[in-house]
Amino acid sequence: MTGRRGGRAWTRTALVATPLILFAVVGVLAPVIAPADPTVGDLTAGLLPPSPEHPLGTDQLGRDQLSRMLYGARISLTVTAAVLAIALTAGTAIGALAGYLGGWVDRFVSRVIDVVVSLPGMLVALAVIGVRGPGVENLVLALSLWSWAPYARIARARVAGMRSSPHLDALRLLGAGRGRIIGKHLLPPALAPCLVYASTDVGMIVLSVATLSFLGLGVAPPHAEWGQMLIEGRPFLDSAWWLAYPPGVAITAVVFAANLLGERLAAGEERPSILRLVRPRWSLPARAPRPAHAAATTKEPVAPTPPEAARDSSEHDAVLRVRDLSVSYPDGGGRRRVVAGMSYEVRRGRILALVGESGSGKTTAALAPFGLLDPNAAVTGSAVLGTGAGARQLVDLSPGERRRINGHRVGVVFQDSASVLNPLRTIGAHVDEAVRNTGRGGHRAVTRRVTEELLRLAGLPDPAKVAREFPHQLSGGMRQRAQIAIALAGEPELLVADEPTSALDVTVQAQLLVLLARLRDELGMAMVVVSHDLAVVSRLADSVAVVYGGRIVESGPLATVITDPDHPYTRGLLDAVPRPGAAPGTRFRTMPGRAGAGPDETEGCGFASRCPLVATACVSEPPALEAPVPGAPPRVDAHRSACLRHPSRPAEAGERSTGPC
Amino acid sequence: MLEIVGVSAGYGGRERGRDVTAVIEDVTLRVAAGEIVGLVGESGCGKTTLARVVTGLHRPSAGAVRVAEVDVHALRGRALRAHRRQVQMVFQDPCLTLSPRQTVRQALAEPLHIHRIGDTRSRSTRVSELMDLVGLDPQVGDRRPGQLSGGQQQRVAIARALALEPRLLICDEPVTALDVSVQATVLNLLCDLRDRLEFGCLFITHDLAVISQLADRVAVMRHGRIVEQGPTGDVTTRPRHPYTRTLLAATPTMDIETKARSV
Repeated sequence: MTGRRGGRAWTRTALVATPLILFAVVGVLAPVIAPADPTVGDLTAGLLPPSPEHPLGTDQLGRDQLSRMLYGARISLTVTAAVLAIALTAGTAIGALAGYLGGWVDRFVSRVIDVVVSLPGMLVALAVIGVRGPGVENLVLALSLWSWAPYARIARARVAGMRSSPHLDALRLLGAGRGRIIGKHLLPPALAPCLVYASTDVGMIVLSVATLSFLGLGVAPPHAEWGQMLIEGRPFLDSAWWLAYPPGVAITAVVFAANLLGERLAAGEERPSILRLVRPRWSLPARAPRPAHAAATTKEPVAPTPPEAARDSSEHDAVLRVRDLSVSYPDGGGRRRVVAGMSYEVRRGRILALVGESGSGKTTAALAPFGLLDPNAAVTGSAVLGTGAGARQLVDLSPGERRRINGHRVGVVFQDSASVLNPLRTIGAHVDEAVRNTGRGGHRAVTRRVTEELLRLAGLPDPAKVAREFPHQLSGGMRQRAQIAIALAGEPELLVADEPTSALDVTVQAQLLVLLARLRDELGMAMVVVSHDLAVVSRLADSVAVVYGGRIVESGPLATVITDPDHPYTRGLLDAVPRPGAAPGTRFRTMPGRAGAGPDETEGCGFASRCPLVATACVSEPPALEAPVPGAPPRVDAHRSACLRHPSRPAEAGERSTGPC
Repeated sequence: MLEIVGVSAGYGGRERGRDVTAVIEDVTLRVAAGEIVGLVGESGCGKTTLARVVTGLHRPSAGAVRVAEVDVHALRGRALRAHRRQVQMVFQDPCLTLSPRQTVRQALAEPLHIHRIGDTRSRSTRVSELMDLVGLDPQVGDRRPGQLSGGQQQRVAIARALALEPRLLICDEPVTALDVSVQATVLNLLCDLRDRLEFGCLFITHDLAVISQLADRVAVMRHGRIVEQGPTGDVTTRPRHPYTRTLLAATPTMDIETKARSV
């Protein structure tokens, strides 16, 4: 699959470079395929239009234009290639070395580069040729002297940026020497932008060669050369179009091809941006219904919640009610689901935790109702915020309606507070903006008073001081509190927190968990907390939904799920939590295999391949999310588990809760 | 295996015999062969600087670091590079420590190339072995770090560190970025490898829970100093320093019984 895709990419790369390759081949073969000698003219046959004898006509001296074009390719491209090879090699090597060594070498080389870049290139070339005389070698030398500097500058910047990167430390620890680090790990990434620049440079060099040739300083006149042909044909633009157009088209084609090629090479396997413009991506509209084939191959393992079950759950205080939520992304020709048929709800003053491994779809499921996913994502199902008159269906909202919900009725806290906050704005400015957006602001002083109140609410001890500080001046825990203050600006009914404490130290984490619990208790807020850590969740949540492979596999009240887990996956997660007091070297009980694929990649239970209790039916028969004990009410917030062992085999229930897993 | 004696280090050079910005002060710590020593502390306490000093990436302003009786900071050039085979490090952020342009297989073969071990075929076999060792699917061999999950990236980083069969492994928050379930398998893996290969391991973390089930001894670090060290059981059950007690109280555990609040 990847091989075929790689092959196709290469075919396309070759296709893009066709004009360049074509002219290179033609140039090499010019002596063989050219119909006439490009330098020998027949004055009686001057300025003939294209004819079978002269496919591109003849010039004012009666020389065959086609032959001149072919020989021109040879000269133009040879000189250009030589200049590029020298400039690229010398420039990249000098720049990479300066960037890696740093210190005075770097400062000296940088100054030299600055000087060379600021010199007018043509003047340098004229000076060199003036001293050394005309001729192809001197032309190459002159143009190389002028064009190496940008490559050195690019390579230097690139390498200097990577010099202190941890991956170089890692290589040094492996024992890699300087030569290997520069040659294998710094030059290739530095070379990529240089190649892109080189492609744009091709046109410049082709034109410079032509200009210098015209001035009598480059390729001597009887020899054909594109730029020279262009300039010679200029006086006859009106009368003899065939003189100037072919070299013009050739130069354009070569420059364009070189540009595309450079971009493709630089982007590796990714699609270069300019190609995307040329060939728009063939994609489905984001909210298109699922393609037929996906629907056909997808069995719906989670039995649709019976409508009466959905209705009889305590609807009066459910702040968020999500039913049958699915999220899919474009994948190849079709769409691939990452969240399938999830139903969850969270009531006022309660915290629901979505727990699962990375890639399980827990974050996607939590953010999907609020339109916070990639624009390519297609969300289906239902998600109702609020109750009674204030109830709003969140799926398929227009952007305008969304703005009236997000930040007002729903606050979101992300994991990485450093990247969420703008480094150039103070914490106060961030919160002020949120306050004004929700319409609670007024005069600057009024807004700031609200801001300080919010910061205090988020547990920041000196709000006035914190408001004046920038994100980098705060610790991770304080930034996370600032984010919470922003989320609280609209006095939301619901707070969604995506791994709010994962990047923090344990002591800071403990304080934040206390804060979240306090906000729930004091403000009666509902919260959805996404976490991979059951231990963290156990300090905070009221109910838990365990997510595996894009589906909820077990959900219910926290105490029940943690003390009496039904699903083997939940048990596996619990076993993975370190237990203080265990003897050093005690092995964790782990689940075999790797974290799951998407919800539609297996016929039966997604966990079957890792499950210690797997039965033959598990592989083919999808389990439904239902009460582990027969006869329990089919409520969304009751303890439910998606495992085939129940309720058809209740006899095993007793053994199950104590038996090893 | 590893002896850290009276090490101080800092940044920004030295003035009047003191570091301009002292990060660690007078740290003394030993790791025996086949022993896992946990170093616990919060971010900014100097754990990572200590790791850089131990591996020779950062020069201490006082004290000495000896690995297998050899002073790491007295070595230069080729001798240093050869010595580095014995000390490997697993970094906190695997995404930043893997070369972004190398595939998994290339990254794992890199140390073998550097030390000119084996030929193409034996390297390829070794790479497959390493991938199997850390539980990587053979299919991911041709992917680049950007196409891997965090857990997979860290497995690659661990496999690369183990490629040279080091005698000392420094782990700097190796599981902090991982899911709990993945963390458990990685910790088991480290335990197994330690038993098999008998390397000493300095395991740096902010999470006492992680270390308490893994380490033979624990050292608690605060503001660049080690405030308490001893056998894991003693430190976690009878902490003497108030800071250790604070850390223990903050550590999330599964003891649901003690939770007052439930639904």
